[in-house]
Amino acid sequence: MSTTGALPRGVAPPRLPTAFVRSLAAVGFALVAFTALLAVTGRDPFDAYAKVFRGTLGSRVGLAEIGVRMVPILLTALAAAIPARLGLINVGGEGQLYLGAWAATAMALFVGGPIWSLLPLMMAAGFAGGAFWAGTAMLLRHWRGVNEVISTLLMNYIAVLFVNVFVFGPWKNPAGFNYPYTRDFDAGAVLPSLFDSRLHAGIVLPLAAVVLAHLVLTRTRWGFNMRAIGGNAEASKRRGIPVARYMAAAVLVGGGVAGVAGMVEVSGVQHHLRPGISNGLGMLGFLASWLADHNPVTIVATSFLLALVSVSGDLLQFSADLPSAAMNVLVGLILFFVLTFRAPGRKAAA
Amino acid sequence: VNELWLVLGGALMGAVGPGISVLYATYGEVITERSGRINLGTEGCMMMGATFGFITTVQTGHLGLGVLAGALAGGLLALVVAFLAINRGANQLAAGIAVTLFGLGVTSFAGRSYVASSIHGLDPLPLPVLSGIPILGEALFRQDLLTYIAYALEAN
Repeated sequence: MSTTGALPRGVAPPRLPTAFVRSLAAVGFALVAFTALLAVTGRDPFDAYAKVFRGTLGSRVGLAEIGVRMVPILLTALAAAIPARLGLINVGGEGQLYLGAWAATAMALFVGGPIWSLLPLMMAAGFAGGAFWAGTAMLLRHWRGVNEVISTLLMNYIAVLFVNVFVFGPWKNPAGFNYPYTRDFDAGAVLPSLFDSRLHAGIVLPLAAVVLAHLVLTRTRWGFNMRAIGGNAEASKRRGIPVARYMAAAVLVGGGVAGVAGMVEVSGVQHHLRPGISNGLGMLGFLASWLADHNPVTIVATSFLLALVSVSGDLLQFSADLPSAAMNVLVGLILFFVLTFRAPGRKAAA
Repeated sequence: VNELWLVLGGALMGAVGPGISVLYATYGEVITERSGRINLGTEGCMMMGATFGFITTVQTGHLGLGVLAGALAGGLLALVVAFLAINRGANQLAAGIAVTLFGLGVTSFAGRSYVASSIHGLDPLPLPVLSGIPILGEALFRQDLLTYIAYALEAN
């Protein structure tokens, strides 16, 4: 839908189409390079792609799997995108997801109750857990001037180990043959499944969050002030915008959203807490947000793409005898070409 | 008391080896950050160095070549970060994460057929006198050449 020709002289053409074409070209180049890599290492790339298609976009089961994978990616992408509006970088979606999963699990195991009260309680606990983890990083920044990139990144590792302490220790299922899992959740703590598949009701959460984030960011005074702070924090402060409060709120909401991703993973997919519940999905979320230039609507597309790549990686592991991590090559290549194609001097999406 | 020393000494000995690998990565990052840049791809560079250093040593039977190949592989990957962040003005955090993922993937590809291989690593070179110090000497001065180079760099 190019309207460039109809524009009066001196008006810049809309940027979106170019950005979109560039992104598509980047994905195309990455696919070509990955195909070459598969061929060079003695595999039949088109056979592999055919298998991937059948296992993902080409079947109900595959589509459901992409949806399941997309939920945590989309939520952790929002966790990066909301603070990014203010120029804050949250690389800690992964750790916030773990804390959210931990807090939601605590509710499922020790509070319980009927589904209509327990699920909202778990969601609130997940939100609080993620917000607490992100808030800690913000406190460090506020008090000690610790750069939030480093603190959120390193706190990811702490969060994973924190969960391990509980699943290997006090929360381990006594009837679980010594596996590091908690006991399975009661029915009241499980998100209902949809369409008789692995897809669960949690899929509505990221979609609702995207709509809400978009509306708040574009249609409210808050969103306007957030953009002002992202543009120039000092000027905003002098204009009387409570910058510190906005920053704290954005980071807490971002962390909370990532925490809800953790709640959805334990309640909708695993039905218990175990080590490695996410395995890097929070990182994919960060990349999805970054690829979308932190735009909450474009994030849906980039999250879908990364979910597709992630599911494909698991498939190739079984069908084409590739290590699952091989898909990281494709993600790396996509990013490489996207970064290469973005015009130099473009404001770094911070 | 004797047992406590044994435990402490054991912990120290166990810590020096893995610590030296991290120390080398830290030197690399310090050099990068002196230039006002940050390279989040260090993890990927380390994996490239480990994998291609190992593969080269298995193929050539020469440890020195392996060390060189490892350094070269890590450096080449870091060059990608430099290209993206400096030449293309890209966000350096995203560039670093991209490179880490890429390194993770490439090494799992390339290293796959070498999983069962083994190499004879660098031999320890006990320093005269110093290695005779109880516990400390055992832990710090009965190491290989690369460890001593790391000490020398630290003293710098």
